Amino acid sequence: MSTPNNSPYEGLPFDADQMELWLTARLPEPQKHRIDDWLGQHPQQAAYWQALQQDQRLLAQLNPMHDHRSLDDYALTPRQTPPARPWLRRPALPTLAAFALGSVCSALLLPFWATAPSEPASRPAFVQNAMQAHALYSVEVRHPVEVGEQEQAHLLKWLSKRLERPLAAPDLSGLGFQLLGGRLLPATDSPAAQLMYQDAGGERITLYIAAAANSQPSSFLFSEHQGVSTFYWVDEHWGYSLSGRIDRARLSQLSSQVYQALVL
Amino acid sequence: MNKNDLVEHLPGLRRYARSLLYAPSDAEDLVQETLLSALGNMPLWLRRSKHRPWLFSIMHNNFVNQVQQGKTREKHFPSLVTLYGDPVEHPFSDDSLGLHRALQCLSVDDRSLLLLVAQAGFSYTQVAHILDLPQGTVMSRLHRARQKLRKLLEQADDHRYREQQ
Repeated sequence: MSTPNNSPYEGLPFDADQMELWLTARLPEPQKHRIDDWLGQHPQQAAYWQALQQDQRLLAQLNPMHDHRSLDDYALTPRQTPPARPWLRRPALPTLAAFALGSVCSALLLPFWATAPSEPASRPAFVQNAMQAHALYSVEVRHPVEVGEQEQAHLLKWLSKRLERPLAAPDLSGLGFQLLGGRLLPATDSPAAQLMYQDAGGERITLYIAAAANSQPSSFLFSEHQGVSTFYWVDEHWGYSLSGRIDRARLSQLSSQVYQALVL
Repeated sequence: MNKNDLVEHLPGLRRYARSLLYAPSDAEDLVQETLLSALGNMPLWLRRSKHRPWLFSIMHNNFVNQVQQGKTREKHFPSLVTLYGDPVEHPFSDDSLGLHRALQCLSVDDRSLLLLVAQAGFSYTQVAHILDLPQGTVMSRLHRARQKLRKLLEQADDHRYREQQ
């Protein structure tokens, strides 16, 4: 074991600053040699400092960029309508990045090997659907929802039945949003539900819930497309997505509330 | 300074972002944010030698904001086995993967500090400017960060070794 139990400076005739400079090879030659020589005669201390030197080398070499990107690959005029994450269009990623992609942070909650390395950090299909549905229906003046909030009991019973899962409408009134109602939507394998909320200023957010059998459980992830922000997560094979044109912090707060209300 | 001056620094910024953050998509988001802030605040006149530290300080501020606002998937690895993954399933997990993951177990400050010095090769004075820290603090924190990183890698190595027995 190379970490000494006592201070790594014990008995060392050099101070911390000198050792730091030695690690990054920024010492003038004579001083560097003095430290090298001393460590050569003190193998116990040398093991520790050489390990740090090896870490320094690895850090210096970490993540070389194999894939070239130019400024044009970034959306640099976003205040109009930016292309969403243009860099995602590029399929080629270096090996390490591809490997890391396969084990994005859902892996942090699970044993590493339990996550399929196939799902990259791109948005799952249900999120695309959710954002499209938000864009489509949240701007509706007369028919934003299929069933209004005044028939809430019926709405939830109906959606629960079609989704084959119990569904409640999270109460977001504490954060200023009232339920407007909801609708049933077609999705990839089975139907999806959309609940719409509105605040006093008329801003609307939508909660989209769809089966996500093939997605790995994940913590909150954020995505943005053409001004619509969404927080999404996967829990117990259900994909949830909360979308709106509101700021991220507020949306995040609302998402936590929704998450707590909908835990199965 | 103008937009074209950003070009030569893009690979370095991307690499720094990639090492700071675990998910490559978060890293590219950070690069994008950084480029936007840089374009929006570009000083008309900045000495050429200052371009790079200036851009890195913008990236650092964006990074800290993103982390504070929970925009990144900032998570610590719950167990050390996840530093390398399962040795049976991933026998080729290399040291750099372990190192990249170990970095994510360090605090935001420690991570930035180590990468700015060890990877980006900034001087200690430049790092102090970028992180807005007194220069003396940079040196002492650096050593503590190196120690923490070493401990993590050692524990992970022990774990990996045991698993392979």
